[in-house]
Amino acid sequence: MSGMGSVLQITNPTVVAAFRAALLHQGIVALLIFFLLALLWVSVREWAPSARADGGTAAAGMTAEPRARRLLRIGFGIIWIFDGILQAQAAMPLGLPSEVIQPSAATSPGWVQHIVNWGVRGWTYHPVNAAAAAVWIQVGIGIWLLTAARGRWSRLGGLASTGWGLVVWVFGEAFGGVFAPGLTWLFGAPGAALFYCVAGALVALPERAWSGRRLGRLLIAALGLFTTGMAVLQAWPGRGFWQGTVHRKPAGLAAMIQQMGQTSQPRFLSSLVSGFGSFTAAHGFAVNLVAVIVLAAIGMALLSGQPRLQRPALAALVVACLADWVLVEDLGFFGGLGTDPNSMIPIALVAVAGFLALTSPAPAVATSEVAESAVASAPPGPGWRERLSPGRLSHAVGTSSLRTIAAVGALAVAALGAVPMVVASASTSADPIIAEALDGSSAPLNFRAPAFHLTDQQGQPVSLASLRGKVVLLTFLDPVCTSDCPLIAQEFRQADQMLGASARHVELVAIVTNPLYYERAYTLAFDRQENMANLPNWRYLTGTLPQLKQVWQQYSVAAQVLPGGGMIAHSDVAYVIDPAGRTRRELNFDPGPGTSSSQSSFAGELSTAARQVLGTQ
Amino acid sequence: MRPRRVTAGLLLAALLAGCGAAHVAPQAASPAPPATPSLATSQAYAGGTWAVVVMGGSSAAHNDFWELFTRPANAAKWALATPLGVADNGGLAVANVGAGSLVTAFRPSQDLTFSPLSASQDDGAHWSQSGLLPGGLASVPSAFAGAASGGLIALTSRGDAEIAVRAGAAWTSLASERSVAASPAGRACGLARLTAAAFSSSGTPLLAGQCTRPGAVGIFASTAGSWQAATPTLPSSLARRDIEVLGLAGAGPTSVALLQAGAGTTANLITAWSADGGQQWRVSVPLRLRGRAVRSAAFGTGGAVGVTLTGGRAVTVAGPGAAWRPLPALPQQAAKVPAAGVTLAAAPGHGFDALVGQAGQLSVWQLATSGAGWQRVQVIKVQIPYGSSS
Repeated sequence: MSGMGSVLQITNPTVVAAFRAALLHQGIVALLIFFLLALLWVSVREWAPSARADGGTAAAGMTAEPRARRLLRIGFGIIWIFDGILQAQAAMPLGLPSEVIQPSAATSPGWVQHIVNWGVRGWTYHPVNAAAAAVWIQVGIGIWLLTAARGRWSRLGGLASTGWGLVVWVFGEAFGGVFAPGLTWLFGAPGAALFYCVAGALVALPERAWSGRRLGRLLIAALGLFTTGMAVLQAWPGRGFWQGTVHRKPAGLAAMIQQMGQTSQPRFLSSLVSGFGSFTAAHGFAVNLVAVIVLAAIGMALLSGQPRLQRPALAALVVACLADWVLVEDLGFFGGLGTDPNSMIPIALVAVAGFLALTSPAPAVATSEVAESAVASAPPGPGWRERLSPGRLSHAVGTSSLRTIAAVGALAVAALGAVPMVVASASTSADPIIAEALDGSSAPLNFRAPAFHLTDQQGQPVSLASLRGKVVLLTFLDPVCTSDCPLIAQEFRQADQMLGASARHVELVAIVTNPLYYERAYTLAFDRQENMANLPNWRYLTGTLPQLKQVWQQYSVAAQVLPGGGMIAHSDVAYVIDPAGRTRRELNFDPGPGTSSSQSSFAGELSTAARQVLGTQ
Repeated sequence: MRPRRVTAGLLLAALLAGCGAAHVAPQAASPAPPATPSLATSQAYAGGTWAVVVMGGSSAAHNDFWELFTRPANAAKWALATPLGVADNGGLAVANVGAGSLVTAFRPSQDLTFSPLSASQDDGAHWSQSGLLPGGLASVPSAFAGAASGGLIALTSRGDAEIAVRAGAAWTSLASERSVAASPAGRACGLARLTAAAFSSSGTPLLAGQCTRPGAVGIFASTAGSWQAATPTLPSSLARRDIEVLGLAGAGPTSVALLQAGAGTTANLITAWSADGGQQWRVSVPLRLRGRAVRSAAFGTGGAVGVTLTGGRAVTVAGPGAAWRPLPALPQQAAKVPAAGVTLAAAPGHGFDALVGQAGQLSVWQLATSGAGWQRVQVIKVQIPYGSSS
C-alpha cells in the first residue's frame, strides 16, 4: 500500500536465508579447496620422494620463531577467525551499515562520513556478497596467520592482515573515531583494527628485524607514547569525562558504560557493567582520575627506557586492558551486532609482544634467512615461464610444508569471499535481493493484459493496443502522493537508464490512482516534480473517473480514500506487458525505504524483467 | 630514567591529544523562538468560521495531520471538513472566496513540491479538485487568501506571490520577494521576506513581510502595477524595534494586520485595521508580551483578533479602537498538546472558542458566561490515519 512506509528489518528472512545459503555454499567450497590441496600435496610427495627429502632439509635449517612474533601471529590469527565468526551473524548483511558503521561515523567530520559512506554504499548495494566476503576474508587471514609460521607466506599473511585491517579501520570503524569528539582509550580509541594493522606489519617484517632488542624497545616506546597521549586526552578539561552526572543524569563515561550494560548479554556481565556504570556516575571524578594516573604512569614508565620500570608498567597495562575490557567495553562483542572483541585484547597482545621482543629476542644468526621460505629453497629459474612449468611447480608443492599448503588454502578461502564481492561491485545497480526482501519475488505469467483507453499528460489518447510492439512497464501512481509514488517514478526513470539502448523498445506507463485528484494538471505537475517530462517513453495517463475505475478494477488495483488528511492508499504494483500485449510479470512494487540501494534494486528488477521479455537476457 | 626522551614523548603525546581535543564540538546556543506563528489559524467569513487545527500528535512530524473544521453561521456546532485525497501532514491553508465558498491548499510535504487545491461551495461539506499552486505554498499562516470575487492570492515556498482569478484557473506571477524588496516602498522597509498576503475589501492585493529597518512596517498594496507602502503609523516608542507582520486578513470591509515589534522580553503585539485598502490604519495600544511568544493567531468578526501565547495564555482584541484583553488561562488539556495544538476561533457573538486537538479528539471550549473560565461544549472524534503518509 502506498504510504505505509516499508522498512527493511535487519533480520529480514529473505536476506538472512540468502546469506546463510551463500555461507553454506562457500563453506563447502572452502572445505573442498583444503581437501584438494591436501590431496595434491600428498600425491606429489608420494610420487616425488626427492622433493620430500628436499623439504625435510629446508625445515632442518630453520631456527625457532621469535616468541614475540609467534604470539602476535597466533593471537591475531585467532582474533581474525573469531571476528570472521562474528561476521556470520544473521543480521550482518543489513545490520552492519545501519547498526555499526553509520553510528560510529555519525559524530565524525563530514569528510570522514563521505569516505565511510562510499564504502557503505558498496555494502548496501550487495549486502549478501559483502557480508559473506567479510566472513571468508577474516577467517582466511586468521587461518593464514595460524598456519604459515615462517617464511614468505607467513610475512604475506602479515601484510594481508595489515591491508584488511586498514579497510576495516577506515570503513568499518570510521578511522577508529580519532577525528570525532569524545575520543577515549577506555572505549577503544583509536580502534581495534588499527592494532590488527600494527600486528600484521610486525609479522610482515623480515626475521632479521626480530634479532636483538631494538624492535622491542621501539614497540615499548610507541606504546608509551600512545598511553601518555591517551592519558592527556582523558584528562583534557571540557571533554565531559570528569563528571559522573550532569543534571542528575549519568554523563560522559558513566552514560557510555550504562548504555553498554543495557545491551543484551549474560546477566552476570550486565550487572557487573551496570554496577560499574553506577559507581562511575557516583564517583565520576575519582574514576577518571584513576584512569588518567594509571595511563600516565604506564606511559611515562614505558618511555623511561628502564627495564625495571617497563616490566611492571607492561604488566599494569595488560591488567588495565583486561579490566577495561570487562568493566567498560563489555567484552566488546556483546549487545547489538558485535564485530570484534574491541581494542583491549589487541593492545594487551601488542604489549606482551613488546615485552617478549625486549626480553627474549631471536638470536642474530645468519641461518635464519635460510628459513625465509621453504618454497624459495627451490633452485631459482631464469624466468616466470620456467618457474610455472609443471615440473618446477610439482617440485615446489612437494618441498612445501603442510603449513605452507594450508596457508595457500587460507589465501584461497579469503579469495573465495573477495572475488564474488569484487565481481558484484562491478555492477552499478544494487542486487535484486533487496527488492525481493521488501516485496517478494514474482512468478512468470502469461495472459492477455486488460485493454485501456486513456489520455496522456499531453492530452493525446493512448490505448494499450497503440503500444503493441513494445514492452510496457505499467504502474499506478497518485499524482499528489507525497512518498511512495515519487520513489516509484524515480525507480522507473533509473530502470530506463539501465536499459540503455533497449529503452527505445520499452514504454514506461503510469495510470493515475486517485479518485479525487485526477485532472491532467496533476500529472503534468507530477512529471515536472519528478523530472519525468524529458523521458520520451514516459506516459502518465488519466481519464474520467469511470474510465479510471474500470482500469483499476481490471488490473486489481485498490484505491482507498483515507479520512483525516491521509493520502490515498493504493496498490503499489508494476506489470510487465510483452510486445504482443500479454502480461508476463506482476511485480509487487512497494518501493521500500527509498534508499539509494533499494531504489537501485527495484530499478534493476524492473529493467531485468523488461530485458527478459525483450529476449535480450 | 632518561628525562630528555620522556619530555619529548610527553610533548608529542600532548600534541596528539590536543589534536583530538580540538575536534570537540562547541555547545550550540539555544535559538530564539521564531516569531512566525503556527499554521493553526482561523477566520470568520460571510458564511461562518473555519479553523485549522493540528492533530495526531505522535512524536513523528509526519503523524501530525492538519484538520479543517467549519461552523456555518447558522450552525451551533463545529464539523470536520478536511478535504480528502491528499496527505495534509505538511499543513493546510484556507481561503474564503464568498459566502459558503472555501478553497483549501495543501502545503507540500515529503516529496511533494506543489500544492493541490480543493474547492467547496457549501462550507466544506463537499470538495472538488481545483487545480494546483505550482510553487507550493509557503509555510506561514497568511500565505493563502481569497477575495469575494473568487480571486486567490498565495505566497509560494520560493518567496513569490502568485494570483489566480478563481480556483482552478491558471496562476500568474504577481510579484517576487526580490521585486517587492527592490521597489521604493520595499527599500524603505528593508524587506527581508514576505510573510503574508491578502486582498483588501476592494480586491486590491496586499503583501506584507518582515522589515530590517527599525520601526518600519512592511505592508504593500499593488497600485497601478507598482507596490506602494500601505503602512500604519506605530507609536514612537516602537520606532527602534524590528517589525514583523505575523498575519494579514480581510474581515468584511476591514483589513486586519497582526504585528510584532521587537523580540524576546521586549516584544510587543499590535493590531492594525484599515477600511480603505491600507491607506489609513487604526492601531491598537501595544501589548507587551513579557517574554511570551505567539503560538497562533485567529481572525474573528468585525476585525477581532485572538492570539494564543506560550505558557497557556491567550489574548484578544475585539476590533478597531478596542484594547487587548487577556483571556482566562487556556484549558489544562491545551498545555499537554504540542506547540500550536490550540486554535482560537470566532465564537457566535464576539468571543473566541478554543479548539484543542489531542490525538484523535477535538475539544471545543467556550468561555463561561461569567467569563471566568472555559467549559467544554463539544467533542469531535477524528480518525487520524497514523503512519499512512510516511
